Amino acid sequence: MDLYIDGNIAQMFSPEGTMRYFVRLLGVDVRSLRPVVSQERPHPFFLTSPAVENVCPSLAINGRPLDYAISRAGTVVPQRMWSSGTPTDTRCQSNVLLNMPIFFVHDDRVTLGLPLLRAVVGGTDCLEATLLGAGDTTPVGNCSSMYIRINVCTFVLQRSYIFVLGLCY
Amino acid sequence: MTKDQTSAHNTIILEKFAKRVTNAVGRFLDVSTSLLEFSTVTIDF
Repeated sequence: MDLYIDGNIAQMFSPEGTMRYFVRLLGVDVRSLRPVVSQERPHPFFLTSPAVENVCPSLAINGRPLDYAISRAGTVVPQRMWSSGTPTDTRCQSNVLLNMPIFFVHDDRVTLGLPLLRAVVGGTDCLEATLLGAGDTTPVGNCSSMYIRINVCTFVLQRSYIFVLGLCY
Repeated sequence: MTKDQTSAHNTIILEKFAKRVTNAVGRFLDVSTSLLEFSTVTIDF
């Protein structure tokens, strides 16, 4: 499996967009770091090279996956990297350090994402019982606010799932 | 505010974070009128 084809991020951003995202995240083409994919579901992609610590030492990778391979659980909603379109904001955003992507993994250790239908109906009560590490601190870094740019195509909502790629300030 | 208090203020557990994300997406879908658009959702810790 290829991170730039089979990953959820690749499905959201396209292979080219994914390359730009990982360059922004890590500062290098991630393929030069030789990511490996686990053969066990949900097939996480990891960086095992110690070189990544030299590439981006401030990034708390610590064995966290870069992505997971797509599954048949639902639709991956196409996204594009958010931009305000104004030159000043674009320069500001280009200087913001990204955190590692956050994936919601359920306690069966296989199911990924939060069903979008749950968001639509407003029901979040059962998250506590199903989310792996529900009581753990969210790895968002030392920030006080998170800006989540949402790009939703509503006609593919029925079995869509939410993943989070956020900018922290 | 001390450094420790600041750190505590910025801590959010995964469950609460997931709920906020889910609720934010739900609110966005409630007010969204076009088929494809961007929206910014701010989650304060």
